[in-house]
Amino acid sequence: MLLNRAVESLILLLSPICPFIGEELWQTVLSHPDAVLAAGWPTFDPSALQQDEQELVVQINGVVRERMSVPSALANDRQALERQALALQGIQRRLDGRAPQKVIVVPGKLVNLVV
Amino acid sequence: MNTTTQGPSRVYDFNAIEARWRDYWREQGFFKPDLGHTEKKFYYLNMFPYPSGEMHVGHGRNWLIGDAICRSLIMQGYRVLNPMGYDAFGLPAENAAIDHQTHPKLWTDNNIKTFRRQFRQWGVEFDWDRELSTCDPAYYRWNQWIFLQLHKKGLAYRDSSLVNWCPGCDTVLANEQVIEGCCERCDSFVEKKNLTQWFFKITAYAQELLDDLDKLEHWPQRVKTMQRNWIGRSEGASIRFPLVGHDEAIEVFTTRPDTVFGATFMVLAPEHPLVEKITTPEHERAVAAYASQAVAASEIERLQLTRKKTGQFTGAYALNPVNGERIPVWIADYVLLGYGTGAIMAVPAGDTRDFEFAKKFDLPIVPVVQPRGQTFDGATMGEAYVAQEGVMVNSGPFSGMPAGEETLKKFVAHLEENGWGSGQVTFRLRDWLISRQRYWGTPIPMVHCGACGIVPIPEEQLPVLLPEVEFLGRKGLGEIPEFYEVLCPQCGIKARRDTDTMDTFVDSSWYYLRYLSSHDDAQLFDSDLANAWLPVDQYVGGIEHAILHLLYSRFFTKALRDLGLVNFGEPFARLYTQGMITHKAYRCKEHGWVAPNEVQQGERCPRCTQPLNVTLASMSKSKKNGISPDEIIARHGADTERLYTLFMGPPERDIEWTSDGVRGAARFLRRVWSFVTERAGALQAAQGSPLEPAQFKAHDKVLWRKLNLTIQTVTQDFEHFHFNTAVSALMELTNALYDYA
Repeated sequence: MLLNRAVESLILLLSPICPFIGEELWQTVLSHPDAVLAAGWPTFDPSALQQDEQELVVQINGVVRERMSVPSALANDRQALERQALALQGIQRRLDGRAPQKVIVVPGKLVNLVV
Repeated sequence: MNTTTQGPSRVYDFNAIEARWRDYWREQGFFKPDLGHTEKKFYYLNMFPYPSGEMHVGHGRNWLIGDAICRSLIMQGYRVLNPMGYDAFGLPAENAAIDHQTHPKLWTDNNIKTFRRQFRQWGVEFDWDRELSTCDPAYYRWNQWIFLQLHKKGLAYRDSSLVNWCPGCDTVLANEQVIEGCCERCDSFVEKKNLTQWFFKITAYAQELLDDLDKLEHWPQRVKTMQRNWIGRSEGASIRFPLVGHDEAIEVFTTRPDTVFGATFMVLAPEHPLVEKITTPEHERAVAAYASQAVAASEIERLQLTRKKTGQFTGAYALNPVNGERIPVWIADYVLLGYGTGAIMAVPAGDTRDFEFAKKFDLPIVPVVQPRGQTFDGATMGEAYVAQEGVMVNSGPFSGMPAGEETLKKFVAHLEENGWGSGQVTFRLRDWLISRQRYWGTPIPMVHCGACGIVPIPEEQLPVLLPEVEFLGRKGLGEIPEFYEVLCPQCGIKARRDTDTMDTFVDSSWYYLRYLSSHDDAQLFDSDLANAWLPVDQYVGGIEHAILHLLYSRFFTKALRDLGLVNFGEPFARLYTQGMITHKAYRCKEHGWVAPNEVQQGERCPRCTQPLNVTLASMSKSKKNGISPDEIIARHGADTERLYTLFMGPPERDIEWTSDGVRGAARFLRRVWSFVTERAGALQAAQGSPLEPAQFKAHDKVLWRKLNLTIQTVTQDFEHFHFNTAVSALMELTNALYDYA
């Protein structure tokens, strides 16, 4: 899973600089059978950096409560951004049926729901 | 794994952790490549150290850079060769032996042990099986072997010449070791003495050393520029000025043949062989008197720009070939016999010293170059115009042409067509003086025999061993009859060994090849291995070696190539020069340098409470401002010291060491430790499970993107030595992990 991959990558990338903690975390704590020096260098997936999506934060009364990924195509579509923000489960739960008085949208950055 | 047994400690116990892994990589052989295989080979090399005592954090940074790079390369599947050795001969060991009443060998061996301990403490790894030390006869016998080969080819020769004598160190210095007339080590004023010395003919390779700089794409521009300037190729011409009333001509070399129309008088060095012949009877007494007092001054003094101009007319005249003018011939002490031909054509309008001389002795000044839009008048010019810019004037058919390289070439052609001179290339580079009159160095393998002359030691008799005697302080091998008394290898009569030892730069000019065959008694190195593993893929060291060490190494590589030992001409493919780590240095007028941890409140001397003079200087033993890594390692562990050192800043710049940020580095490692250990079970369980990016939710995508950005950034940063930004990226990734989980 992703967390695992991220943690392992962190350990591997850190190890040339901090080899002792690297081996300890890799072999002792995470029980890998091989040494860090034999584990290979983390591979980089260029598709992860593609900008066909943007990440925005969703705020309620100025406080960040959720994050959402939005297709780049909709980057400037304020209504679509607002719709998507309101549809987030976490937002719905917090709003608890209330409708926002005002919605502030900063394309590419945030949707702020004022209640 | 049985999860009910005690899990990993939540406390980051760096001492226990580091003890557990300290010898692991060596035992597993990770740093021992099989040289027989060369796919994905990488020869990484730090300039090898002088074993002079304990290493401070500045030294540490050099090794940590190398260790980080090599580890990352091994992880990327490279076969990495990273050897370690010691540049053990030389003056510092002798000076320390005198100070501590010991022998240089003992002092050196102790320091090597200290270095090994510190490397191990840091977790810095090398291929230890290839360890070498230049003061080991198994090493220096090959210096002697190289000397014999160079001698056979005429590249090592003996010559009497003016040499730089440092009265403080009691030894001869190479030109490069003299800074502004003073010894670079002890700052004494350097004298000129006539001595018969051994030289290596590096000038035979001057043009190639210059040309091949263009092939070194991965060397820093400024290092190449420094080498170009040092080699100092200049195109000029030799010109003959016929003497009136004599068959001879005065030959001069000049880098500005384009100014020849402005040559209004000639100047010979007082010692020039023609002086006696051409001086007219009326001027004989004055010339002789002037000459004898002129030679009493040292060369340095004679070359001083501020020196009063003195001279004497000889009564003789020469003809300027380009315009037929009769010009007077003088002698003056600002012209040296040892430089060029010992004679110059004086162009007062274009040369500062000639200008002062002409003013003093009322000689004509004729401008030949002037800036566009200006007209110079020789009678009223306030100073010489030395630039090769503007327009030619008073220069016959060349007047009106733009001053510069093109016009200069036309002058040279004109001189050649008329038989007045010829184009010539000269180099500033001088041959490499390798003789030293010290004990702690490689003995020169030659014998002086009354009957046979200079006799090389036969190769089978190598090494000529440095005698194991009680150390005699400043005295060299010339004080040890058991060493120099020998029978001539050729005729058998009593003879004397050469008592000079070699400049230690000889040792460091080829050590990068010796690593391939550190223990080979039969040959310098295995040529097949050398051809496969060199040039060195990445060489790392200080900018202070830009001229001496790097130039000598390039020369040696080419000479070894011409001896058939290697098939390449450049030793180092990529060069990286790191800056220095500096620290405040404190000096008391009375008590000398004070270590930072002894400085009293208010920056005062601990012994007399006088305020100290504070400067920022690179860490050094002599200034006592080197900071040991021991305290940080004891308090926070080696990993933290490593992280902190590399986090300080980009290594190509100088940086001031402070320990302010150490706690931040320690905290970061604790954060990483906690994050992983607290989730160990879940992470282990998920090992090997596939990633499904298509199923990623929004917050997964954020981490996924951050992770890949980090991998990309850190990988590039390692390639460019930007460890500080690599560490930043890893700190950001750690924050992202905390945000995510």
